[in-house]
This record gives sequence, structure tokens and C-alpha cells, in this order.
Amino acid sequence: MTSDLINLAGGTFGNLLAKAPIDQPLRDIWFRSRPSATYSAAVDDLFMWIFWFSVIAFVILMYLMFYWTWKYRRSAVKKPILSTSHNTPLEIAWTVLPLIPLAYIFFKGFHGYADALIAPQNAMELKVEGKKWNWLVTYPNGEESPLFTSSTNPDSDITNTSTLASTDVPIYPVPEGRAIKLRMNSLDVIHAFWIPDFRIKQDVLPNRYTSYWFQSEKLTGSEKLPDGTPKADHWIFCAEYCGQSHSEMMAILRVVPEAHFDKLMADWAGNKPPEVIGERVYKSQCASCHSVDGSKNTGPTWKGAFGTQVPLENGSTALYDENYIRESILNPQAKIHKGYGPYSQMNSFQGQLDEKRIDGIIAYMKKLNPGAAGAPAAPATDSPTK
Amino acid sequence: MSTLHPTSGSIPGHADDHHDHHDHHGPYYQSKGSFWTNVWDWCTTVDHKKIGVMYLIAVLIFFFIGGVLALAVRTELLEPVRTVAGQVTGQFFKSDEGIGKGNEIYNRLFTLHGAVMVFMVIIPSVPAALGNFLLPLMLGAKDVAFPRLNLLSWYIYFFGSMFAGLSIYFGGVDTGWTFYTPYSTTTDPDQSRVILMVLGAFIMGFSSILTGLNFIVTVHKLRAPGMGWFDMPLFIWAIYATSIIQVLATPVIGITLLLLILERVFHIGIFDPGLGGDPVLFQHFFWFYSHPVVYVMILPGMGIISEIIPVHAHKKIFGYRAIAFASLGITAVSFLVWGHHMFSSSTELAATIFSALTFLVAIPTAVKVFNWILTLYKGSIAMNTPMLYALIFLFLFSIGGLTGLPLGALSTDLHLTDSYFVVAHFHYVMMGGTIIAFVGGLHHWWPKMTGRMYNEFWGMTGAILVFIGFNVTFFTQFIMGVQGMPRRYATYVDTFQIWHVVSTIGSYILLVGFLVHLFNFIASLRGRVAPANPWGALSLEWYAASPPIEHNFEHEPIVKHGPYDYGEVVPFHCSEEDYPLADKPAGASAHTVH
Repeated sequence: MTSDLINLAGGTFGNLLAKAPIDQPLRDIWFRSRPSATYSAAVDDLFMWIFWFSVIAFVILMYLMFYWTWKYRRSAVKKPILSTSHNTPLEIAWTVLPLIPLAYIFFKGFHGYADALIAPQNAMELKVEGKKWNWLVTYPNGEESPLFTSSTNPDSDITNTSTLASTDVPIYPVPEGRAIKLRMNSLDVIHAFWIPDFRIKQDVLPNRYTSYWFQSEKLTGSEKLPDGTPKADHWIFCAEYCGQSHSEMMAILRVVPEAHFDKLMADWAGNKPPEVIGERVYKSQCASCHSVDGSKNTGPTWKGAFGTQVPLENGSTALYDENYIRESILNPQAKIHKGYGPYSQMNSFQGQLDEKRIDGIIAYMKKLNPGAAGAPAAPATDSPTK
Repeated sequence: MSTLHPTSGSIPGHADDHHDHHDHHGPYYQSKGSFWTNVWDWCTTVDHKKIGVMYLIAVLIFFFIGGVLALAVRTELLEPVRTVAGQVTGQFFKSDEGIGKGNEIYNRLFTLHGAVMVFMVIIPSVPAALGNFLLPLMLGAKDVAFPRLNLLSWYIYFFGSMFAGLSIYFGGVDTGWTFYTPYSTTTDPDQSRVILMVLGAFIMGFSSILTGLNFIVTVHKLRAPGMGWFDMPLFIWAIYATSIIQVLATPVIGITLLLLILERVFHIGIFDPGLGGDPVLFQHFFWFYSHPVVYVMILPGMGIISEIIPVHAHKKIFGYRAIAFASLGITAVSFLVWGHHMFSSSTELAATIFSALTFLVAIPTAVKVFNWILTLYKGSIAMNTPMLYALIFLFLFSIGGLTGLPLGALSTDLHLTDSYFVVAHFHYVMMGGTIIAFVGGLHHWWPKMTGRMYNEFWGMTGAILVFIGFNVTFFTQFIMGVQGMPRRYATYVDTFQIWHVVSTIGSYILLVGFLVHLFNFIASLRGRVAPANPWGALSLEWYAASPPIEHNFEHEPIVKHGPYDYGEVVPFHCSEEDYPLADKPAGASAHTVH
């Protein structure tokens, strides 16, 4: 009963404001993007409700403050006036009455929260794994996305251009107009999966799953892939501080037509040569620390590394061969490259990369040093080993 | 009725009794002899005023350091990619790799800014610095209840901050000031910088506890004759409520930080899921302390505003008891809302309960704001630096409070948490609230502490610069937060650059404002000599000389009127010409009969 009344009053206030001509321009400043998911429009509505409520309260308070400060300035007041310093009905009123808008805000917030967390039965489930400093998204068919923003990728024309996008940012396509549920966990520290355009985030924890869902929007065709297929790009950010490359732990969620999505899924499922698998694993899991252009990062570069002698932290050297790569992936502390110790920043990938992917990485690293022994497509004339 | 203030003739001849071996009637800071004699005197003093001044100097130094770190953070964010942090500060943090080390330098900068500002500036700023100086004076006491314990608290604070300083010297930490596990238990495995920093915070916690204990006993036992609970200035009520939180909540963070150290050293598996622990448990422990501590930070600031407004408006404060009880109400509710820092990692039921409880905190806070503004009504308002700061406080704190609403509501919080919206919100509360009140209070009590008047023109100029700079810096952060800018980002997508540039320009204006205050304060030390009661105030610290003598009062004051009876009594050391009395409404004087 009471809650109905509060709801009615609050709803009326919200409807009145939504009619104000200034409401939409202000929403565009506050949010920059129009809401994409169904419940995110409700988040925007609640935010704007609170915003207008706050503006009104603030203006009244500040008006009284400045007006009285001016009116009762000392030069204008010759003799102090004894006015009451206590008024029980007034004080009770301003203690109790604010509870009404507060109750409305709480209930609206709770409803929006429930809507965001409880996914429809038919939602497509994506598995999200966070690790320092990448997002890994696995599709229902067990595949991962090979798409990245880069100059060589035809899919790379992201509209949210960024200086940072010169580094490879993974792209996760999802079909338009579908309910998509995320089941998320972390492989190391706490992360948070935030899609600002959908107005939602949840922490990604190492010891249990967290989850939310969103409804991908119907495409309007304002953004297009090079082949004319409509699309919409949304940033994904890590929102829980997780260390050195926290701010580069980003990805792009790309909404595409259902048919295009099905075609991508079919393409990815086909057989691929190991170095292609390796390149994909590299981009999604290794690129935040290892470069392939020779530059130094958190970890040593992979360019021209295979087949060489690696200087180690303990002063000795090791041959950069298949076994060294395998050991470094599964037990990073065993043989640490000189200059990256005394402890390796890298976590073990034991249990995270299967044999197919490790083979892929080895094949990819061979490709990055075509002159080395055992590398493909190059005559093995001399061996660097003694 | 105009002679109701503490009567100097109540103990005849008392003031002349001991003029014997030493002069106890000069300023508390007067020289005791040679330079080293004075150094020894200050190091071993049990005088609450000297201890307060030492806290004040330490807090101002740390405020400067924290401010420089903030400016470094803001400067780095002028560009979306890494710029200065790797190059300029790389040497300072002993990172020879410079820009190759990625964002680590930036991550250390914002961590240290947060840790220094929270643990070494805001928490001790008002209670330990101003509180120490003012609490006994306002109560009409000679000193706090346990003067030696008070000195010990200062040394604990000092050594705790040395540990933190040592951690910075070895390179600093990059965990964020919240030390979230498992990141904080796994980063920096070979060195002990995290342990040193955590140990520093742990040690400083004891200083907080002992100071709180000392103040609680002082308020209970050392009020001047005639001063009942509801005759205390509201600053005392605020400090009293703060002290309760410090005594009750600080042990929790102490044991939590100790567990963090044990986890790191012995790998016992409390927080690390790899060892069977729960990382979110740390967040519960941490916020069980750190949420009440948000009120350790803001309540004393509210106390200052409750003093400044009635004194400079020359008006009895509206709703004295409501403000006093609101302080205690905030104290009680503050222990029940820690979960609202964790909506995005809690279970659904916990998030819902904490969201509902969070809205309860809004009520006592709003009541205080209403009371302060209504106090202005029919006052006689002097516009000077402290009063201007009180108005700035009301402006900024109202924004800070109202922007708490979308963070308390669940659905909007899931969008806004860990974004720049949160950064802007807590800066409006912590800086726009506590620091603004602190600087306002510093101007208000500067004549009492130093015996000199600051220059009003430069004080007002600085205040206006701080106000403009603050809003330019932080209002832009609300906007970029809603637009999707995550906090603690060393690099960011280009869309947000315009807001970052404006915000950084604002931070430079802030710097200029604070520098104006600094030079104004330094210049004032050779400025006009302050009268004992320059503002015509009624609370007892203005009854003492400016600066007070070593034992505060020539003889014990006897309280015969309330601290806010403006217009009813002539203030100490003032004439009725300067502060005329109000005309009494007919038949309304019954309560003043004694």
C-alpha cells in the first residue's frame, strides 16, 4: 500500500522530468552513449531521477544559504535578533520526509539489480575468464575469438578509435537482439567485467562464479564492417585494480547480425594450422607481457628467440627450444630469463593451456625466428648450439 | 545578564599566587632557553597544545607530499598513453627501466597518494591536530586526561609514518590504498615493501586508538565546572563520536593487516584462494573498519562547521541536540553499512540489505546540513575566510552527499562503482568535506594557536581559488565516470581525454590556492597580534589568551552559559558596543535566571 503510493509519486516525478526538453541533452552529456541493453535504459532513468531530485534539493539549499548569508550580513544587521533555535515539528518533518524519496530510490535500484542478474532461460551463455591482463571469452561451441584490432585485420575498423587500440585488443562478436549471459571467474586476482554501454559490471573472483546478462541491441546500421555488414562496438574494461597493465585489460564487444555470427562460429570451428592457433593464444593470453617486435615488456620478446641461447638469472644459459618453451609455460620460475628476475612475474599456465595450444605457441615462436634450427620454411644450415 | 561568562573574580587572588620560580603566564610555545633545550622540551612535552602543533606540522608536510603525488597522477593523465610517470618519477622510485616498466610507476603514485592522504593526513588532521589543541581548551581543562599517553600516541604516529616512509624509500607499493587480496598478497614477492606499508598503517592504528581513548576519558571527566553534556560545543560532540569509532573499529583493521602480513610471510591461506582462503573476506574485514573510518574522517569536519557557522553568524546554532545526536546516530549506523563498498562482489541478499541500510546514513547527514543552513537565518553574518570555507563546505559536501545516492542504489551502483564517479564522490566528501573544513578551522583557530591574525584578503583569495580549482578538478570526474572511465587507469581510451585535461587544469588551480594559504600563514607569523577573542566567540578556548599560557587558563573557568548563546551574553574580552545584545522578547528570560 505505502510502497504503491511511493511508487506512484516517484513515477509521476520521473515522467514529468522525462518530458522536460533539457532531459535528453543532459542524458547525452552524462552517458555519452544511448543505453544498449533493455535494463540499462532503466538504470539511466533511475540515474536521471536521482540527478533531478539532487538538483532540486541542492538549488533550494544553496538558494537559502546564499540568500540568508547576504540578507543577514553583519553590516546590515545592527542588533542581533533572538529567533528560535529549535522547532520540533520542523525537525521531525525533515528527518522523516526524506525517507520517502530514499525508499523509492532503493526499490528502483533493487528492481534494476534483480533484472540485471536474473537471466532469461534462453540466454546464450559465454564463459568469461579474467587473468592478468586479458579477458578470455569462450563461446558455447568451445571456441575463442581470433579477432583483434590491428592494422592487418580487416575487422579492425573500430569506431571508438584510441591511441591504445594500436595494441591488439580482442573483439568478441555476439549476435544482435539476443539475451547473453556471462558466467565469469578469475584465474588469479580479482578483476571486474564492465561494459559501460550496458551500464553493468560485476567483480570477477578467483574462487566462485559471478554472473550477469544483457540483451544485445537491434542494429541500426550506423556502424558497418568493411564488407557492409552492420555492427555496433562496445568497450569492455577491467574495473577492479589488478596490477601493472590493469588499464590495458580491455576488449571490444561487437554486436553483429545473427547470420554473420553463425558464419564466424562455423569458420572458427574448422581445422587450423598450429601457428594460427598459436598466434591466437599469443594475442589473447601472452601479448600483454611479451612482444613479437623485439621491444622489452614485462617479459622478454619472442621475436627471434627460438633456437637461441637464453641468458638466465642464475648466470647460466639454456637453449630456447621446444622443451624450454613448454617448461616456461608450465613452470615459469624454473629458468628465468636474465633481467626478468629474481622472481618471474608470470603465473603458471598448468591446466589452462591444453597440448593443442602449447603446440600452437611453439609453432608460432618458430615462425617468429625463421632462421633458427627446427623452424619451418627455412633451410637449417647452421645450428647456434655447440 | 551580560556578565554571565566565566567570572575572573571567582577565586580572588588566585591568578597572582605563583609567580615564583618560573613564568607560567607567557605563551605556551615561549622559549625555555637555548635551541637544544627547546628541542628537548618539544620532544618530551606533555602539553596537548604542543603535541597538537607537532601533529599539525606533520599533517601539513604529509598533505604536501600527498598533494605532489596527486599532481603527478593528474599530469600523467593529460595524455591517454604513458608519459611522465615512467620518465620523471622512474628515478625517484628506483625503477631503472623507466617506461619499459609499464604502468607500475603510475600505479605506485596513486597508491601512495591514497595511503598518505588517508592514513597520514585525513585521519589525524582534525582529531589529532586540531582536536588535541582544542579539546581541553574547549572543555576548560588544563590538559587531556592522560598527557603522557598523548605524547606516546604522537610517537606511535611518527614511527608508523616512518615505516610507511621506508616502504616508499624502497620503491613504494602498487596495491592501491585498500590492499585488496589476493593482489596484495602476491605482488612484490621478493621484497617487503607491502609488509612495511601495511605495518606502518597497523602501527598508526594504535595512535588512533590511544588518542580516541584519551579523548573519551577527557570528555567524561575533565569538563569545567558547570558544563553539562549539552553545554559542550558541538565540535566536542563530533570528536567524542569520532573517538568511539576509533576505539571500536581500529582494532579490526589492526588484526586484518596483521593477518595480511601473516598470509604473505607464512602463506596460511586466509585470503588467498590458491591456499583455500577467500579474497572477499579481506574486503569485509577491511571495510568493516574503513567504512566507520569514513566517519572518523568526516565527523570532526562536521564539528568544525558546527563551530564556525554560529560564531561568525553570531547566532545560536539551530537544533543543537539534533546535531549532537546525529553525530552519535552516524556513529551507530556507520558500523552497519560496510557492505556497500562491495555490491559488485557480494551475494545478492547481502547487497540488498546493505543497500537499504546505506540509505539510513543519509538521514542524520541531511539533518545536519539543514541545521547549519537554518542557523544562518536571522544571524549577523561576518564574511571572512572561516565563514567562506563553511559555505564552501556546505556547497561541496551537499554535492558529495547527493552523489552518494546513485552509489547506494544497486542498479546504478553496478554501473558507477570503481569508476571515476566514485573517485569524484569521495573527493567531494573527503576533500570537499574534511579538508575544506580543516583549512577553514585552521583559519578560525589560527589566532588562538599562533597569537597572530592572518591576512583576510589573501585568505579569501586562496579560498576562492581552492573552490574553483576543486570543482574544475572533480566535477569533470563525475561526468567521465558515468561515461565509462574506470578508476586507477594509467592509460585510457581517447574519448575521455578532454575531461582529463580539464580536470588536470583544475588541480593546478587547487595548487595555487593552497600555496596562497601557505604563504599567507607564513606571513601572518610576523603579522598583526591577535586579540584573545577576535571573532566574539562564546566557547571557552576564546576565554584563554591568544596564544594560551602553558596551563591554558589563569584559573579554572566556571561555565555559566551555553557555547552558542549569541545575542544573550557579551563574549569574553569583548564590549557590548562591538557585540550588542538582542532585545529580549517579553517574558522570555526565565531560562537565564541563575
